[in-house]
Amino acid sequence: MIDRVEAPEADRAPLSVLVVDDSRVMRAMIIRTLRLTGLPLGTVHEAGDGLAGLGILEREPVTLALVDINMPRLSGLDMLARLGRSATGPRVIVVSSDGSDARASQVLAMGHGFLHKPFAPEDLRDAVLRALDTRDDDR
Amino acid sequence: MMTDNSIALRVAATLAFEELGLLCVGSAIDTPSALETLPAVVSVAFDGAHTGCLTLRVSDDVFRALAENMLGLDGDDAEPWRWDALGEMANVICGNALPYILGTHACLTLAPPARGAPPASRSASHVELEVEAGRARILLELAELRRQ
Repeated sequence: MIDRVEAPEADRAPLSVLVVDDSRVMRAMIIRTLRLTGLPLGTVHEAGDGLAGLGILEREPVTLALVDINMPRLSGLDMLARLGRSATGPRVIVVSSDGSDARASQVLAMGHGFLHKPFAPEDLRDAVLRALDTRDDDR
Repeated sequence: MMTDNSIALRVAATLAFEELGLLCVGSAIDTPSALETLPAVVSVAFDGAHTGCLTLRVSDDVFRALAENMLGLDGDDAEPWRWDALGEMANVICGNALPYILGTHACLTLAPPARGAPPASRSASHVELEVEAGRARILLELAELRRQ
């Protein structure tokens, strides 16, 4: 089992998180790992594809979105293209097993974070902190 | 002797089983196990600059251990999660192995994992590994390079 990761981030406001992945196992693992990081989690939403993810983003205030790439109905990249990027929108980390440089470059060029599967809890924590720091920088 | 593709499959599978499945991977097996000893089978098809399919077969103990380690789930009601966990394992192995084999600039789209395996072809690369006390076999079939 994974040990809890040290994270001096408990003074942050609770994060409202959206996890978009067609694998319910991966959604469960991401949420489980987020809880292990010590980051303050508020509401956690789940979606099984990009369309469902966009639907949640229209209705709910979300601070952070973790998004897979290959999904039915609407891929993660198509979802993010429709979402756009704004200072008030959620910070996005694309979480994918795709190890190609081409894919990572594509995501980074869109202004989002990229986390490669498989990942350790501290990798996820660091990616989240980087994404949130980017948000702070935008303000 | 292992081919370059088999080495890539071994590296990707070891990474996935150890980091995602929290299972120790041992040696590569030269003599393939009988198929009936590897009853849980999923496959991941991919398309893009190349097309093909990766198939993952595991022994029953590995099949059960994955969901237990990844999600803390055990018991009869964990069966659907076991298939999802095995599918995610295949997805991660595929996503990590293909850049080694096809190059890091090839963009590919992976289909959702499906139970079962496509008919095997002679051109498949494969590797079989010790995973804890069980076994896992990974088989990769690649179609001809597409003309751009």
